[in-house]
Amino acid sequence: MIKIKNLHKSFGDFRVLNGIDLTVEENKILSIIGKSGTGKSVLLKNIIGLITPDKGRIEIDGIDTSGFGEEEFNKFIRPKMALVFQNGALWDSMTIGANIDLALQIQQHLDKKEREKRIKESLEAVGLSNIENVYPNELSGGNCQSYSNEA
Amino acid sequence: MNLTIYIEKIGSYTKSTIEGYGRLSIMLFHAFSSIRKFHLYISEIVEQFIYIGRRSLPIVIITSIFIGLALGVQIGTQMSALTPPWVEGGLILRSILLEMGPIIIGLILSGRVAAGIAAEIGTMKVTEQLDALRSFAIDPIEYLVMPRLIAAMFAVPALLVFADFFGIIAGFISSYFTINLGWEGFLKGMHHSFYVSDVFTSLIKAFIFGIVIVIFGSYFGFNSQRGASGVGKATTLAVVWSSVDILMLDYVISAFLFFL
Repeated sequence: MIKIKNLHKSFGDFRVLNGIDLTVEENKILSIIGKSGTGKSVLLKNIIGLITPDKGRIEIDGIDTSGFGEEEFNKFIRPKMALVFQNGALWDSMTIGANIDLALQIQQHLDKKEREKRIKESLEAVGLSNIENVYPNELSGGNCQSYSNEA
Repeated sequence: MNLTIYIEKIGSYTKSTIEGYGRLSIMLFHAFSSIRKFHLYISEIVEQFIYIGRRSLPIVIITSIFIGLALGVQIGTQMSALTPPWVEGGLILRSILLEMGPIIIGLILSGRVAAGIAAEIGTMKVTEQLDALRSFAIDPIEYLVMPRLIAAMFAVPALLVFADFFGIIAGFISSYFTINLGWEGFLKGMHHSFYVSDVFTSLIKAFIFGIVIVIFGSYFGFNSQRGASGVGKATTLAVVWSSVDILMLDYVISAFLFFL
């Protein structure tokens, strides 16, 4: 469950988030729709801790993230979340397989066999298997976002 | 009135430079403290060692050869008739070992490696790849800077050994054709001027320059502004500042080790 209360964020004089109040219940799907530049990505980045809010409170599964640093976000928040970036944000020097492998290796410390199995499973889950050795620039934007989601 | 504006500009520039060095020091400390997790990044360290070390080897050898050849000509033609020719061996040895070797390596790698790192990390920043790393709970400094730092700390001194070797051999060839100095005379000169401490000084410089190259490249990459021009600017700044700092540190290390 995500609870947001009175969230503010500005970049210089440009006010992006102006007192957002929002609750996302568990097992519910919520769509946020708005024009370009109205702060949809900024809101998500605030939730996952990539941007620090100017004011307000974000609570995730009962954990108040105010005052959290990188270490706390890495430990309590980010392992539970997945964020798909606008352009996929896949690491373009690595193949699709290596992109998915990175998090499994560094974050979850899984052995090679288990990682290979997970990569295969996750690619099959989005209906685009057998492209582990393809580079992101060889894919369409939509496919990049699918792989980014799997990663 | 104009003077006040200039003083304000100098003050503001000095302040931002000091702040920049502060942030760069924090990044360096962070990268060093991540070294304890090096076992998770063995393949990245090897990959970076190949990029910084092996792929820089041809340009380092070619440059060292020409520096050695030029030194042989310059020293040979400027020695007085009363100076025994074999002295040139020692002069070339010490020039290359103490100054030319580390400086040339440092400046070449600033252009090749620091620029490459800044461009790569800068592009990753503007395409949100750094944010993607953070969203995966992967520390970008640990993943991107630490492996490069370890690789450079080994690769740059290793490159220096090659640079010194080829520079000295080229210096000998040049001396032979300039003042007809034979191998025995050249060896005699080197033997008279050789101090083991010079080798350590040279290696310490290369080790520190390796750190400077990686940390400046990374720092400007991480602070790259939006767009292609932002990445270009970050790359230029990385080369300029790492080169300037290498030259400043060269003096500081030389002076420090001389008085030690």
